[in-house]
Amino acid sequence: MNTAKAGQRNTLRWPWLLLAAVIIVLAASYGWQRWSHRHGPPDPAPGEVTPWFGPRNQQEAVNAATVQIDGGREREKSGKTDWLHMEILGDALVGRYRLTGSYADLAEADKVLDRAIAMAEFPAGPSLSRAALSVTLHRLDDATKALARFDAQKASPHSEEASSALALRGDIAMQRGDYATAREDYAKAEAAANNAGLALRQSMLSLRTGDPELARRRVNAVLRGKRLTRLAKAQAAIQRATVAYAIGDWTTAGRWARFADSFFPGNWLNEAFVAQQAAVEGRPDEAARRYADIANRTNAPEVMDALSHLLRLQGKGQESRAWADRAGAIWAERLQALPEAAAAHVVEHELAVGDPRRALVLARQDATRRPHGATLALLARAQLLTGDPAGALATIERAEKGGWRSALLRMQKAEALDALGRGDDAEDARKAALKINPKAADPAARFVWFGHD
Amino acid sequence: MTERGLPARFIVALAFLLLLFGLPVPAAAHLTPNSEIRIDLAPGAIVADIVVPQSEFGYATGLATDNRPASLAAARAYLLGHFAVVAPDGRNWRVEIDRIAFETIIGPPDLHVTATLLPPPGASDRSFRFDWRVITREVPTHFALLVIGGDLAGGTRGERELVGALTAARPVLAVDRGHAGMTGLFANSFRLGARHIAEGYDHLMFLLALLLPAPLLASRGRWSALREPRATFRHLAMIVTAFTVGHSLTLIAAALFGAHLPAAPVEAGIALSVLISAIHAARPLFPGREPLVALGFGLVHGLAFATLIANFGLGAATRVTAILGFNLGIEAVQLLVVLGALPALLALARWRHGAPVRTALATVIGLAATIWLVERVAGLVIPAAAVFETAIPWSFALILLLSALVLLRTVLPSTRGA
Repeated sequence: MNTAKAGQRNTLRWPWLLLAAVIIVLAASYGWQRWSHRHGPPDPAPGEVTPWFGPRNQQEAVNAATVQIDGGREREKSGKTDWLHMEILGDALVGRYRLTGSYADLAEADKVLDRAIAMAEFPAGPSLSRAALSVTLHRLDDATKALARFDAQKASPHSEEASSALALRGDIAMQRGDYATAREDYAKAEAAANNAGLALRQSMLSLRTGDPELARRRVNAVLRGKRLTRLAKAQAAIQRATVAYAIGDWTTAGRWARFADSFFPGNWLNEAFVAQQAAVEGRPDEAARRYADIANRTNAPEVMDALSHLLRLQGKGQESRAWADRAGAIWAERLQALPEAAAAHVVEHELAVGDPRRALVLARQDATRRPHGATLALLARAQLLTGDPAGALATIERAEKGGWRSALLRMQKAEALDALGRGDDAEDARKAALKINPKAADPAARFVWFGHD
Repeated sequence: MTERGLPARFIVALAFLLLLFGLPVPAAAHLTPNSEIRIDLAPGAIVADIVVPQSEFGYATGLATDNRPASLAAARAYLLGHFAVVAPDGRNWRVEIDRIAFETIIGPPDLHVTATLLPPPGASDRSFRFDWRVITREVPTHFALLVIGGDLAGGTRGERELVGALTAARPVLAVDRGHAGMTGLFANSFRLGARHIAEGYDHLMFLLALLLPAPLLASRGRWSALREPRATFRHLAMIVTAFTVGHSLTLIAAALFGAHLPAAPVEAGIALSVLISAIHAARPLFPGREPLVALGFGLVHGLAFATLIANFGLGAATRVTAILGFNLGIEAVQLLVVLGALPALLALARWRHGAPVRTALATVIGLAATIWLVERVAGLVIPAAAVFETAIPWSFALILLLSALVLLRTVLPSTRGA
């Protein structure tokens, strides 16, 4: 009888043991998955990053774009052109803008693509290029309109075109602060045709919505990728530096910024990242020299602002104001030429080295057009500095509610809460910022101008 | 008509994909260092501790940022010309700058100023407008936080209360702390004293380490024999009283006559006092002279207590009330801790394993003191300190629990017998 009871006990115990084993295995797998997600494969060594074809440096890339642009202009002048060649000219101008930051190219591309659209019979025409440029110019309604024209075309598009259209929809959603739709559109675009541009976009989206590890892995895939130009890989390296800055990993940021500069020499943005890194590493005078050299060579107001801000942090009022004035004049011209495209930069300039009252109006307009986290962060800063901490807090909470996650936003929240006299809440916000970026409160973090969150 | 399917169109699509790479430089908000004004309210006067980032000061004013007399005079003149405290009736408060220097407090260097703000005759010392245009007049992207660091009569919620941010667009903030009389001053000072001793573990650790061997007598460099119970109580009372006299003396000297030492050596001295008393708890260094040592180190601890109240206010009655309340708060908590630990201390001395436990306790206290000493002398942050910060309150709770058990054990047999 005892044996029978023991047998019964054993029978009863088996299912429980089995259940426990299943739970343990599941828990272990989940734990392992989480762990491996956090500790994904390491970054590629810079030596492993190899280029495919294409220009080897900034000069070659600019020359190639210039040859294309000159040809396109000649063709248009001779009257022997059509919308397709106009589109090629427009894209070449945008391409050169992306290399040099020249708003003249951007403005010309805007006009060229308008003319190309006018030449084509609806729904044909350079709708995708038009949409892409409109996104760059922060004219989201125009971009949507151009994509509708693209959709109206009867023939089914190439997979690359379909992918590009979806990617642009993702960009529009991203700028409108609808990150879930952006993620969905990027995923669909990737399913249609995978490319490095999409990976970089998804990386940026992951970074700004709280998953820097996924952002890192996305960029690394591009860095390891085959058949990518030097320019593409250098841009991926700059994005890798941006991911590193966002989590306070300054050593890695420096490594990839310097890599980008050596891999694709002569590009002003890569050089600016290297200059910035010198300041972060405690050599602000070297950073100032480098910035001044880039600014004088390229006349890039972004670099002038970074330099002016750096000089402000060093207490050098006169020099800082001189650069701020120079940048301010260029931004004013750009604002005149392409108001939506320049607005956020003018706000950034005014908030850092100008007048927050001038920034506030523009920041409000821009946040209405493009209510995504970075734009809202600019508006919140303008509100705080113009004596409206409650408004700033509401704006920050709106950005948070939308899903934007960044140490900067948390630090701004802490400042707004401080200003509202809510010290304990401010402390919590500060701790949350440090959780994202342990160096968020480090004085040297203020030197991070490019790739800032 | 569509052009899809043409090779040229395909080339455009490829070119377009390449364009997707070049993401424009996104604009972002950038943070800049801000100023902070911490004000300590006391009846008759406010003490303001002003910190302006040196870089922002240089950027805004173009003035020299060194400690030469001429540079400091220029900085002083600039400050006095850019901020005011105004009574509700529009009269200005008197602003006296007591100290001004460019120095490093934490992080990059700052312009550090201590000022006394005095209300005009007949005006409330608890209601005023703070008008701040330092840096913000020249640099509208700068802001300053106004913080209530202390309110001797009215008390503060937590360690600091934020009033708000002073910006170019909002350069004036109103402060109204309501009414507070002498009773409020006494009660708040008492609370402050009690809180400080309860949270300032180093003071209690010093006392505890000194009390650990109190029930014992030293012989040949070791704690060996037991002291008579009556003598033990007398000895304990003398140690506690001597410590009280010591810290009261310096606290009174600081409050009434402004006797101060820089915080760093005082804090290091306290850590040293804990270390020495911990060693003494393990091996007798000054047997029988504990009250003298408690008196001597009490003087140092008193200086630290005095730093807690940055502003004792004006008027002898105010100061005396504040010191009395503060000191009584300290004594109340101190007495509670000593009474709470006493049964455990006595039982420990009589327990056969008492010696190793005492040595272990002394070692833990000594380790904590060594870490504090290194931190305070070298200005380092040692992560292990956080472990002690967590462990110490639990250790005190354990000692109190042991005392409760000892008392229970003493009571229970008699209950059974009855």
